Amino acid sequence: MTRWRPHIDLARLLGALEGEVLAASDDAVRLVAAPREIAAAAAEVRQVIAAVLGDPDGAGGVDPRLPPAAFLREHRVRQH
Amino acid sequence: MERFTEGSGRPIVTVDNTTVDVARAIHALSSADLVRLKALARLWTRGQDALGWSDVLHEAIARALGGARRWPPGVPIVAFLSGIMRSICEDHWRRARREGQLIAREEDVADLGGEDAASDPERTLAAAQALAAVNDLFAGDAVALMVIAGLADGLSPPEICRLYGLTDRDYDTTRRRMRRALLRHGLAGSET
Repeated sequence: MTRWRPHIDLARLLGALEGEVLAASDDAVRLVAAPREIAAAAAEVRQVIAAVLGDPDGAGGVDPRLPPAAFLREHRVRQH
Repeated sequence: MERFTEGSGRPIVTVDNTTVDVARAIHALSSADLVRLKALARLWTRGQDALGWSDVLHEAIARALGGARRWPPGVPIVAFLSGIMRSICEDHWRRARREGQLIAREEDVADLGGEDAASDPERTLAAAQALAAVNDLFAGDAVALMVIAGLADGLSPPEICRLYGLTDRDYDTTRRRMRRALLRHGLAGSET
């Protein structure tokens, strides 16, 4: 019987499809949906980012020059 | 290291430069980048019932900011986060297998065949189900399914074209359709 390793096939396939998504141009993104759908999806991702950064008002409200709250909990940050 | 200070100049905190760079890059993502990021999160979690795209993306960002993964120079931030999501999904799957959460039925595994199916039935079945879920994204597009099969076999584009009798133009137009399908799937709101 032929030896089939679906986990290897899956890894190859996902790797190739990852490359396709990364290679999609901004125009390609804009062409797949109405602007409001793109804005809604972007807002969803911004909410995830905001949740990580500890910004209850949304990622847009955080000053990117400042260390996010999450940094303070990490070993890499030294408190003075 | 980068120092952050109060208005008086009193130091508040010192943060690894790479971490600050990651935070800034994430903040600077365009709407198109965010859509790509969501599409990638949904791709990595496709067919994994226990993993939601937003949970995986959340964890990936946390690991990147926490310094658990270093951002290699020259790698776009979206590609960097995608690589972390891939690791998270693989770790989750390995852990679930160890803890016996993936239970393969004998008849399902028997359908798959092969030595691996016999030696590691849960892994084989879970991967086969995930492959089927990815294939479903392109259901109805016969040429895309050919390309998918070729990619899963590790074939190069010229090899895929030769095997299935596709011209270079066929291949390119199919890839564009596949990208659109992946992005449309990424735009959908549900966790599945």
